[in-house]
Amino acid sequence: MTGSSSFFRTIPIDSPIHRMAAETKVVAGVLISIGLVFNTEWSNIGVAALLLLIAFRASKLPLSVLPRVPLLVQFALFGGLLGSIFSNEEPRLGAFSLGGLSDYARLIGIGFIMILWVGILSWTTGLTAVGFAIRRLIRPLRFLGIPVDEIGSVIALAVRSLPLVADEIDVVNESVTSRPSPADLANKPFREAFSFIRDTSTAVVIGSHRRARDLSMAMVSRASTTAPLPPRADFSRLDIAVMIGAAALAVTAFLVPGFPPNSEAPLPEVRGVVFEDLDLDGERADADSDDDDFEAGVQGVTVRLVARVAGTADQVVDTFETTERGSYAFVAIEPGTYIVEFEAPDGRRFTSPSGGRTDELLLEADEIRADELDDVFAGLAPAAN
Amino acid sequence: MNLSLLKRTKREPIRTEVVGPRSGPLDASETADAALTAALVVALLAAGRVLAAGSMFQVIASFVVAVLAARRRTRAVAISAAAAACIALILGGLGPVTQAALAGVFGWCGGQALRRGWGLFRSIGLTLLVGWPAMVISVLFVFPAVAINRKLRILVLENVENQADGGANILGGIGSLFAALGDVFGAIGLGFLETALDWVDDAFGWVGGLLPDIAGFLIDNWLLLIPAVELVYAIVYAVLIRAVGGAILRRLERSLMEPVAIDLQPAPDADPLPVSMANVVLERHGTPVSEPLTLRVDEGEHLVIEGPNGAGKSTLLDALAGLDNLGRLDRASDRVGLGHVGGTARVGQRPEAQVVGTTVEEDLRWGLDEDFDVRATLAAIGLDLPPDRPTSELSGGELQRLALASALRRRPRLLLADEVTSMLDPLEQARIIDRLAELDDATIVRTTHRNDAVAADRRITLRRRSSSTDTGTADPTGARVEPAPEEPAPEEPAEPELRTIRTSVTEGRLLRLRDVGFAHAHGKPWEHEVLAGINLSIHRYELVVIEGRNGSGKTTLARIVAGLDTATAGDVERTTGVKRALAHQHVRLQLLRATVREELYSLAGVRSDVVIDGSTAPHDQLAEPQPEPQPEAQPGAQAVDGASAPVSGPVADDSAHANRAANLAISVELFELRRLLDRRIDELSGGEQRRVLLAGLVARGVSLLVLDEPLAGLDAEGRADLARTLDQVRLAGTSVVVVSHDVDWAPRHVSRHLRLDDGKLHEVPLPAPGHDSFSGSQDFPRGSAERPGT
Repeated sequence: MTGSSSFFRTIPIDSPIHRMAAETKVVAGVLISIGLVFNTEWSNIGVAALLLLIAFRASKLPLSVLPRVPLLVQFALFGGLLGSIFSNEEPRLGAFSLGGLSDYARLIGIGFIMILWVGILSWTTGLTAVGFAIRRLIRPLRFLGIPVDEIGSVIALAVRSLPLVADEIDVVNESVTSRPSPADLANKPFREAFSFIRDTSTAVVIGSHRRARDLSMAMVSRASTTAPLPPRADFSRLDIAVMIGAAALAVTAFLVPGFPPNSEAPLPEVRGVVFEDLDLDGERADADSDDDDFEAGVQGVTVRLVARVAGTADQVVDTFETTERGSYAFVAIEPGTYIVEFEAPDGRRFTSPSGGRTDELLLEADEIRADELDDVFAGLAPAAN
Repeated sequence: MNLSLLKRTKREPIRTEVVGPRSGPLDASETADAALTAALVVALLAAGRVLAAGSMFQVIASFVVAVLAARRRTRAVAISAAAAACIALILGGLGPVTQAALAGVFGWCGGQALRRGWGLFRSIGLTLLVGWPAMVISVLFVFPAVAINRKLRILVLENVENQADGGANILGGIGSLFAALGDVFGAIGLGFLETALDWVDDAFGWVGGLLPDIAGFLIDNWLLLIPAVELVYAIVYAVLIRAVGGAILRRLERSLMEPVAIDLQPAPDADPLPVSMANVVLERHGTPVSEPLTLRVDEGEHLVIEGPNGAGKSTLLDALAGLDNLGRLDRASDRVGLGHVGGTARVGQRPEAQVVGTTVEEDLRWGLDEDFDVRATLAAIGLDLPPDRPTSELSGGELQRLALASALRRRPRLLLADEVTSMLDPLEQARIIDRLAELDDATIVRTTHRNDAVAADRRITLRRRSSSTDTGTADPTGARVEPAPEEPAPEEPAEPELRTIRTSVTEGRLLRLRDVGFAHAHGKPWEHEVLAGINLSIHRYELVVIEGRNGSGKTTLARIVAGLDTATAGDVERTTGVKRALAHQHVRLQLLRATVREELYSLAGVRSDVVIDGSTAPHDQLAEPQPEPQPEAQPGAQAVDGASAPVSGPVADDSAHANRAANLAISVELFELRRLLDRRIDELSGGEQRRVLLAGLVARGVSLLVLDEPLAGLDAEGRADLARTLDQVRLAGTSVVVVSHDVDWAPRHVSRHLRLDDGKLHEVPLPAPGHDSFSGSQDFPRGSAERPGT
């Protein structure tokens, strides 16, 4: 009454959504959710949210049916909001990340839309109608050898028993919570929690055991354990239209990219510095530019990015002249296997990489973070002799 | 986890046997167990979403499945889990489905281990071997969105990365605030503070730097996360099911809750009549329950069997239905054809126990292949209901008539009706009896404990087995008055006892309802008013009876008086310190422990080392009356007289506990429970269970008790027993409100009799003189000198 059974909270009013077949609501909700999964862009979320709003208005449900968000969840949501605002995601507005905010809003939005579809279904559909719909929906599974008749009968009996069981849980819960905390367990929290859970569970199980015995006797008195087939669903034109519309939306979401496009997955990058290898060790000394042994960058060295594809000749994809500080960068590289070639100025040789060519570099794309090689350095030295 | 618990359960391993057929479709009892388990799992998951102790309910769901798996075939568990998952999916979406799967898979593993009496390590091993992979696969299946679909996964992982970066930035910002503060301290010469705050800055920076690293690990290894989380669940659930599931099974065993195998009777050639028996003693669970019976039922007879509860009436009907005592009866064939068209039909006592369908039509068609007009069949029994009306919305009388319609639709040669009217109000009773009387073409055997055998060809009166009364063994089939050898002599004055057990309230009025109303869905457009303008005061020592028809709102009124529901209109004034409690119709649900003794300790909140049945009879305490215990009203009252003795919490607790312990010892005597202390709750009769509950509540200090429908199904003796128990409650100084659909019940010492009609209360004049005072507060102690019920 007050506790668990309030979860099954059909709102007893009449509306087009109430009159719709339960299957329509289930299937439409599932299709739109699938669409949201395939296409997480704002355009699709907007359409789904709009449909949800229309369905909510048409169902004539008052705003007061919306459940209050628990305080703990509110805190979590607010924390997530803070984290997103101060993230590094582009685009940014001063210290704030609009990109992070958008990502967060999309994710939370998808979650809320899915939860609210389930809500509209349960607010506008009686438990018995839901039971019939489930049993009709699983019937095709009988071709897979799944015992749908048995499962269907158990669903029917479970739906039949749910209100009774929920009331029993309420009674047990009242009885448990109204008892004084066991005085001899006062300082033994583990044992107290254990006995609490054990007592609650046992009372609930014993209650259901009695119900099960009643139910089996009732079935014996009817000489059947098999529920009659559920009545045929009553599809109106509206039902059919809604189903077709939802299916069309899901297909569209699958085929048509959304807008604005998701920030593209980053492509790999390679960076480095060509430097004066004073000590000929092939590594750039870790020193301040003031020091005598500072190994400065070398300007104007040609660096080539060479794509290497098995079975074909190497192909230069890009070239770069090193900057004033000796640095170079290749960005937005298509994933693949590459080598980086450095062209030694006259009279000079490379201490590293040997021969001025790197080993093969495997550059991979990833969904969140791509390869970023920013330490492909090359040391220059006067040619031997 | 507390290891001592695990050791304790290890010492007494419990093994169970699978009951029922080895293969093939589920039989009736398996189907029912599977369905109730599925309903419980769904209801527990739903409760977990609404109630405070939510996650606990979700864990309990796995215990429930484990109990099923320990006692039934895997097929039953699988079908139950599939049904629960389907319902959870539609009602709650993906989250509840995963929880239902979790309960199903880990519950099954735990149940297998429990059934074989395995130790903790083998239990965990099985869960890891079977449950863990199954769960990983099913979660990956339930969340194909995340596992397979790229876009949603990217969105999720990008948010993880953003959160980590944002967290790092925020922590870094907070750190630099500390650093800036440190600079200020440094400027005014507090160098050590500057150093300290720089450290704080570094610490924030370090923690902040960790976040992106952790997020990076999660993002790179997201596929491993699901198995990792499920691994933790697998181990936690295996440990909990091993500890708690074992305790539940042991308790079920002690409660004599053996699983049974019940299946349908075969259809062809039903030939139930004539049936006879000669000098047959009927048995139930191997114990004789009846006197030797000689009886013959012929075609076309209307036979009424009368007798008190526990005389074997139901057992006789079960025997006639071919469910029990097979071979003891003489009949042409054993093909009784229960439930089949042209065979035997059976209607039972409790309306809600007989309905199997979710709607009126589904219930009526259950088991009937033939096509028929539902409305006409309903009209024949006087029911005008839409066929698609959910059975959960029907009143008790409607349910009972629906069950009768289903029985009659089978055109039975033999109709067995077991106490079919005992849970109904008088109007519904008359309807059903009249309908039965009109059935000329069927043979009817009907049992009743009332004198309502109209239109019967023959009456037979059963008596209770004399031997069972002598030994005083509990009779699980019904309430019964115990001979009470330890009962104090009737002349003993009740006054001193009244002084001993005292609740904390001395004022006359305990509760006053002024213009109270109640509406379901209050404030919503579909608000449904149940009560309006209720004015009611309850005084000390009073016994108030409120009668009302089925569906008149009396249960709601009971809950408001007991403080379980809040009135939506008017005022409820409760005198300070008044504790209230409600005794439900099914008392058994409120009793949580295995034995009477444990239950009393728990109900009253008394330590189990306190002696409550020793030689320290309450009369010893009469010499030195306890100080008036008022722990709830004034917790620190003793502080006044000793400034040197500071009253801390435990001291107040101790005095409250001492009071409860003293009260409990007295209650045990008052309610004549001493002989029953070491009995199991489930061995007790309904009346005895009620006495245990009321004794515990009274000892706890409850001063206003509400009983909801305590009379349902009680015969004359049971009623007398109840009246006596209520007098005992009032001797303890506790007022009683009884809510009932029964009008012909008038216990002695009733202070007021009210009738609830159309949501309003009306006074019913009391029949006997001497009840002139409606306050009743002065009246009862005098009256109690004549001990009732003897």
